[in-house]
Amino acid sequence: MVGEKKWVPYALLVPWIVGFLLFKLYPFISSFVLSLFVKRGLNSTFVGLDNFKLLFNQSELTGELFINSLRVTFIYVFFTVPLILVVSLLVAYVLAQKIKGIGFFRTAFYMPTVLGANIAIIVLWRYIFEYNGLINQGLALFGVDPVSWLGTPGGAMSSIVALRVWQFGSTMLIFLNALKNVPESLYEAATIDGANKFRQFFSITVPMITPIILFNAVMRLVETFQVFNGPMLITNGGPENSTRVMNMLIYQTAFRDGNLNLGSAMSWILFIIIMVFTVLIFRSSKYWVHYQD
Amino acid sequence: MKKTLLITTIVFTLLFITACGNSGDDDSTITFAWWGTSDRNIATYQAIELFESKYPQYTVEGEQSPWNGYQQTLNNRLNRGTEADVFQVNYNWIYSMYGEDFFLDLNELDLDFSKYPEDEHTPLSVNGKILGLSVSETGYVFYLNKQVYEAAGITVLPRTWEELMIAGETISTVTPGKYALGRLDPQQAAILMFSYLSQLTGKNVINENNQLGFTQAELIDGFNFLSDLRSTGVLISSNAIDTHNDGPTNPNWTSQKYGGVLQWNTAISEYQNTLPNQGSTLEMAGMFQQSLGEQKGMYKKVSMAYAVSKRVIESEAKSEAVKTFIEFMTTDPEAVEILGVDRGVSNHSETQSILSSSTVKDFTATLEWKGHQVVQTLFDAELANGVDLYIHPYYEHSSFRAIYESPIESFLLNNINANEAAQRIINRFNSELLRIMEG
Repeated sequence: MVGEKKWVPYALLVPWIVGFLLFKLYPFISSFVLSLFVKRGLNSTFVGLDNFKLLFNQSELTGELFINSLRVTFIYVFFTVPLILVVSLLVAYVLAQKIKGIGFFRTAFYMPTVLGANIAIIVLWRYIFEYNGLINQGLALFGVDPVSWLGTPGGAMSSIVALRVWQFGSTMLIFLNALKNVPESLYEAATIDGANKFRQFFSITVPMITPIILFNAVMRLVETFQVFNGPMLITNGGPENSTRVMNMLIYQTAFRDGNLNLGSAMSWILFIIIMVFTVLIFRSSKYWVHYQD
Repeated sequence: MKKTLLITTIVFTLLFITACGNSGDDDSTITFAWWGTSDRNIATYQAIELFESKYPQYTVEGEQSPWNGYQQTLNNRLNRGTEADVFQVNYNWIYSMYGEDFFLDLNELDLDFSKYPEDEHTPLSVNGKILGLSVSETGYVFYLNKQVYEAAGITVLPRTWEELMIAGETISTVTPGKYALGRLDPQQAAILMFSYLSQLTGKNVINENNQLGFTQAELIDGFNFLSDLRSTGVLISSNAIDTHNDGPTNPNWTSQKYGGVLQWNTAISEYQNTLPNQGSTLEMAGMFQQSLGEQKGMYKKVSMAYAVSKRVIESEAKSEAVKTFIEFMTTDPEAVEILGVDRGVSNHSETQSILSSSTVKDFTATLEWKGHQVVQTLFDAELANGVDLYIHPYYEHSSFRAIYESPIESFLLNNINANEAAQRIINRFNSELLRIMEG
């Protein structure tokens, strides 16, 4: 009886372990092995780190496209992560107040996250940002000339950043929960000391939720480095490769061009970048994250 | 309770693992994968149904797919060895997908190639192995929407570039906001420019030495010509003012603000179907010429081909099944009529005569057929003059094409001038082509 109790939990873990081994660990290791080879038809040749070197050789088209995708991905992450954090924190702060009908607003703000970047949403966003789209129709009402949102590098990047920031719901919910856990007594004491709402926000609220800010920052960073749907479906990487993020290039190289080796090398570089940034954020956290205990 | 939970977990795990494996195989089942529009899908399934009724010993599993994603899936399946028995391919994939390693030499199926023109399968052959069966040939052809022209008082459609530009000026003056053509994507603009330059120079964009056929000065002429088309109301002034990437569903096309399109004759139905009245106002306009009476500037290629998995030859019964199926799809009179021109017009002599004499439908009146005729006529006329405009197998290579499409895209967005665009093409064209060809 006692023996049975010991192995049953392990047996129940089997599905997860099988899934992890098959769909996480195996592709993870095999992609690294693949990145060390060049395959032409059925013939594979070991080339060591040549695939990695090729990616940083700007005199080759492959290198030029890869460096461009790195640059584009960094720009995307640089704008998206802070914007999501700021917007979701501000909205969460407002929604944490005791306002009539707050349940409706919470649902409304969370809705875009539920909808995600599916086809219907992409069609809607294309319609909004097209040259004859909703935004330009709105601008025309004020006599403003139309802007080519999807036809210029800056406009296209703004569009895909806006799509991601619009889906701030889950980040907001986590912030909302954190805000509710800030002891009310701190605000009461600050009010007695004469601190206004602005001061209270930056001197009490923000420091108290820094662990949650750290969590959200890391999660959003990892996620935005791996963006794919928005750029693929809204701009298809254009115009002029200005929104061809790394995951798009990996997908095109590995599957459209059938070059799994080069695609694997790219994905390992992406993995290393994400790891480095995650470690840097964690390392920096001792300077700005405050734990209550 | 704990035991039940445990057994359920193990059963589900086993089912899950089993599902990851192959679904099994048998020699009487033929899998057939293709990409296509809804018209092509319907026709193909009807033909499959007919095949199964004529050959009840066989079953065909059709695997339809839209164009987007088909190449990715095929690449993936070839690498895993799970490709369909018969699969539709673009002719250049014979090279870019290392067809010799994955595609069966069709000579091994003992198919009859004698009813095709002698050189039909040369582009599909590598080292004497025929790696794909030509379904049809295709070329880029202009199709004009009469309604747009007539609304501007133009009753005779243009035949030369000069007439086209005059029409563009008339259309933009009489019906502001409308264009003789409208928006071209970089792929379309590239073939337009290279056709125009071929007419002027008698050269293919990629010459017999696998190098860029045009000089920098000629490319600049080509880009300046695109500018002329924009300033005369043939094309929109910048692609930045219309960012709708999908031509057939572009609102400016469907609302008939755009008067024409340059498209493969085998795929014109996509544009036709999105116009009011099933595109009854669409006319095949061939390739515009420098002057009346000329027959120049037509590039062509095998539009699509049927390739067969190398696995098929491992079983005699399977080989027989696949051979029967391919022959049925390409030569059976009833199947040919069902499939019509949804994959273009075959050059198989018997197939073509079945279609041309069909009482089911006048296939010769279709835009695909008319386009096919003009493609063959113009190409042959050029060939007779020693100008071979067959599309190079690496011209459309998925990564190589960026070498010319990327500068053209920037030019169409007005971000670079003709000199810069030509320079960018010159800079990388030959070296990148060489690199791609060497694999």
